[in-house]
Amino acid sequence: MDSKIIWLVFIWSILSLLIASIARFRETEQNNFINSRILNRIKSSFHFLKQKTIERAIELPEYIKNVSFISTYNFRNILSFLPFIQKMPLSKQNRFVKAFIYDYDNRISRHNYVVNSSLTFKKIKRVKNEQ
Amino acid sequence: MRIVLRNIFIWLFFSFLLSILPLATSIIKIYSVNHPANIYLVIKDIISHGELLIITIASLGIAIGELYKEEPKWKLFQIVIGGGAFISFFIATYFFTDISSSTTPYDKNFIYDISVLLLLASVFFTISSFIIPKKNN
Repeated sequence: MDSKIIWLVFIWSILSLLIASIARFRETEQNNFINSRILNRIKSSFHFLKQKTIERAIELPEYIKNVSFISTYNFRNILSFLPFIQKMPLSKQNRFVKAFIYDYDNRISRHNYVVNSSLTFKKIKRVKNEQ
Repeated sequence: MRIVLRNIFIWLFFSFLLSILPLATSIIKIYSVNHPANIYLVIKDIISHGELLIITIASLGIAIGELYKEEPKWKLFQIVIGGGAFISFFIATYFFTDISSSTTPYDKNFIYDISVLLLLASVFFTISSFIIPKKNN
């Protein structure tokens, strides 16, 4: 057997190490939410999502339009479309969801869609079920 | 990441270095008894029997076991690393069998070169198999 094959295997091993390191780095980067690149990506996705959510809110039936409080449950459902949100630990998810709700509420109030109401998600669910 | 690093260090110190220790002690012993002019020749002489290939095979066994223990996130990477590990495993096995059973002696330099290269390759493959992201971690 030629020693060139051994050299080939050796180079293969170095490449494998490189590939594994890149994979691990990407994995760590995905878990590191402070990382600005990922944060920017999330922000841009959120912007799109907000627009979509507001569009949906306009089309929503009356009993949901009159609700100022949007539960975290609803938002987690919306956010679950994004795979990187699903990968987040729950505490991180909550932090993003809270920030999102704050901004969402502001936008909605600017559009005059909010009528003060004390309805919670459970109540919305009940209304939905009744209908 | 900390768990991965811990696993790598445990493997490095408790599996790899301890398996190399008998070779190191025999090199030290020969060097201290015979007092040869060049220690490099002693290392070459000991490695030329193919013992380093056994360590390589054992190390690659650990790498393959670690790689297929859990499902990875990227299947392609597993195939690339696993394929390389399997090929080097079979090459090391072939050479060890050939060296130990051959009637005509091999060139010492050649055995030394392939042993060191395969050992380094096995180390790289093992570290790769440790750091490749798995679904559970």
